[in-house]
Amino acid sequence: MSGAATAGAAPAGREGRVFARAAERRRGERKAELDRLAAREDCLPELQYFLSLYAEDPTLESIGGRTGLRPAAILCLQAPVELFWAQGFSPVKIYSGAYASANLTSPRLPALMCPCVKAILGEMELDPGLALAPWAIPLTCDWLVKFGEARGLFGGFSGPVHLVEVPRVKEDPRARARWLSEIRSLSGFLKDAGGRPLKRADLLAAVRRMEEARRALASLTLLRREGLVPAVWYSLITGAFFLDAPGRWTGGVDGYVSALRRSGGKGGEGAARGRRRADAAEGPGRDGAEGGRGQGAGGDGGAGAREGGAGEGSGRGLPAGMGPGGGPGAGEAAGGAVPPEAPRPDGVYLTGAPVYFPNFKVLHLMEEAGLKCLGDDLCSSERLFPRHVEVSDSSAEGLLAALAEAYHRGCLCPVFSESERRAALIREAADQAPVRGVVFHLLKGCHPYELDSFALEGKVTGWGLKFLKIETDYSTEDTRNLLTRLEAFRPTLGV
Amino acid sequence: MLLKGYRLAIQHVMFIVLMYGGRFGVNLGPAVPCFACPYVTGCGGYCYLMGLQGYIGFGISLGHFWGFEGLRALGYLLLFAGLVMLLGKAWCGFACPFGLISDWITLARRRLGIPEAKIPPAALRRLGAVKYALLGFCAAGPILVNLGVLHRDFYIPFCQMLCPGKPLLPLFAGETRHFALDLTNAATLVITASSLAVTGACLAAMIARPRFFCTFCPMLALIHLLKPITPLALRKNPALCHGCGTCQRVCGMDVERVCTEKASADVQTGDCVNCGDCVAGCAADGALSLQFAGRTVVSSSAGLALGLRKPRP
Ligand code: SF4
Ligand code: SF4
Ligand code: SF4
Ligand code: SF4
Ligand code: SF4
Repeated sequence: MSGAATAGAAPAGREGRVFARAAERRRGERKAELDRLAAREDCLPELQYFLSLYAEDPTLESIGGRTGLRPAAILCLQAPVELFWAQGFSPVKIYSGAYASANLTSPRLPALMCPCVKAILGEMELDPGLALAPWAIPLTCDWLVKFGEARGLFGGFSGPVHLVEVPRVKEDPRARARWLSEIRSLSGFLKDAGGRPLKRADLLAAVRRMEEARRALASLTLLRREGLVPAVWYSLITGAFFLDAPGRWTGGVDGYVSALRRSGGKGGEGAARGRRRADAAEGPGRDGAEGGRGQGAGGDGGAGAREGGAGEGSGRGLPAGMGPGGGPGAGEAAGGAVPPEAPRPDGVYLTGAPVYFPNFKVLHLMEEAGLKCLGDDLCSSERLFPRHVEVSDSSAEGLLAALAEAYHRGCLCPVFSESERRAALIREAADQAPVRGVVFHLLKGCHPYELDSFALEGKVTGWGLKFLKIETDYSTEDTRNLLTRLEAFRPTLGV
Repeated sequence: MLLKGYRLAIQHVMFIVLMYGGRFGVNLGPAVPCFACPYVTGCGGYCYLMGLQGYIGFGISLGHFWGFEGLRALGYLLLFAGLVMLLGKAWCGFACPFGLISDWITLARRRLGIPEAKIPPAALRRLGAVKYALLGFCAAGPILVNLGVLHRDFYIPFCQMLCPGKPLLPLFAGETRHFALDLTNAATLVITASSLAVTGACLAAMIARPRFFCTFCPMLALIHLLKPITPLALRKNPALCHGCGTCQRVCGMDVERVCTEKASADVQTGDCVNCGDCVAGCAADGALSLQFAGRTVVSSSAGLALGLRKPRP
């Protein structure tokens, strides 16, 4: 699918001026966001590392220089990053939240095309080096299936491109077998693109390195549930994952986590534990619905106590499982003795389409509206990579199978044929933290997420959570509107 | 990882108790719900499968079913049921010496990076039915001996002919005698030849797959039949499961339902040996748990799977 080798030629004349303006605006957007973040009171020194990664406006070349490996571009999360490292590549997920980038390509694309995709195409226009790299494109939503064609409108690719066909039926064993063969062929592509042949030892080392990154992110996520990590910082950190070597990124996250703990971090997993145990004890099937969870305010506040876990769970007449946490062991994850927790702030959970730097509009507006985001299932942040890849069979085949499964079967992207399990992460967060409502972030033109939102709304409201769907794009025109809606949402949470 | 480490430690302690306990005066009795094999000199308890065959065989042949022998058989049955109520299938996951040997082989294979042989889950489920047939054989064999259909030398036929524990477990007490053919008569030759053939095949399969023999083990079938009175169970909260497949992939028994179940909390299948590996590997908070009478013994979490915290309810 390699396109015409026109990429790299700098446009001249009127087009050149348009490009220059777009590049200038894009720089402005990035700088404005970075300045805004740096000026925040909660900008700890440990965050400077992440801010600096963005500040240098990284290119594939500069990332390659940092990691010491040849960069390869990926879109979406289904391409296992471990495979790239094992074969001598530095995988870089190409994304952009810059309005200027989306706007640059917009006139030549369908009006209702996802701004994420427009922005990536815009980034490719502004940085001709992008088209020279090897690309692995998982074919997830329709816009990405047609990504190569869309790019063809702008000069195509100059480097090798590999389309990774993602089976949409996850639960089918035949689809899983197909997916494994896709992963093998991705490995073959990487080798043909100049990478090392796949070796067990390299793959095992990559899996271990990645587990360190996962462990660091899991620690950060636990603190997030405690209300200690604002969504903007969490998103900035996850967005930086592809900008540096994974070891340094992991060190950066560990440093920030330690700093948060020092500055009053209150432990980890004790939160609402009693509630969770009660759920596991009952399980769905008891009532044929969703684990016998109480419906509505006060429905099942004392569930933890039912299991002998009195005082461990919720139990203050809040919506089920959403009381202040702090059971025994709170703080164990934080690695130290922790004083009894104060009641934690009530918050919301963010779901839906990804949020990419520098467009943290929704995150800022939620904050402004007084909503504390205690978790999300965005593929740009908490769902950036599979939470854990448990390896039992550590042969090369076994490792490949484990990776394939984790990146496909465990993926909760809405493009799959069924989204029944998509609410699992929301339910989990609501058990861990005082989540009272769900904000569904929809990007105009994203049909899979839009369709998902309806079923999800039914599910989460059934659990007694409030639900708000906001539809937006990368522009700032709707800022006032969104803020008003988010502010109106807050009182419905009973805060 | 942590949970697996605890399990391995417990397995080793139980291995010492059940294999060598008798030498130190420790004996868990005649109705142990795992392969504590009386063929091992100085073992610390007796596998109930041998007892079961013996009581049926001798009970019928001696006509003592309604007398003292019958009462004793009933007592042993109750003892067995009591032990099952105490630990359920954790006897398999945490105590069985043969299970640990199987796990050793698997650990060695994994360390060497040798891939695991795959059997489609549906085929495995069908194969799993064989354990009930073997349990039937444990009961029917001695009766056939008494009816004169089988030679008297087949008095505990499952142990003699089919159980790989008979030759393998005594090896750890330095006894190799069950690796020889017994040429006393045709029956003993058939018995020993069959035992060696089955053991060889099992060993090869155990190298290829974890816990291979457990799929066919009549003890597992017997414990599973007592499921309604067993307090220990693997439970799932499907609302918290995102379907990643880890639990099934790490399960030595390849239990599919633990992953695919979307409605019921009961994922304690006939093949599950309550090893807890799925709980240890699942990174969804509270999705899987081992419970005793409804109380959580340990539950899954990202922290546990990633080694951030110690296992706890
Ligand atoms: S947000 Fe939706 S439309 Fe856009 S790339 Fe993702 S799945 Fe596709
Ligand atoms: S031979 Fe097997 S079934 Fe018989 S007692 Fe020994 S371990 Fe149990
Ligand atoms: S199923 Fe396995 S672990 Fe359980 S008794 Fe049989 S051999 Fe031992
Ligand atoms: S490992 Fe946990 S989350 Fe994954 S499929 Fe199994 S139960 Fe579900
Ligand atoms: S289902 Fe879980 S507990 Fe049961 S055998 Fe498999 S891994 Fe072990």
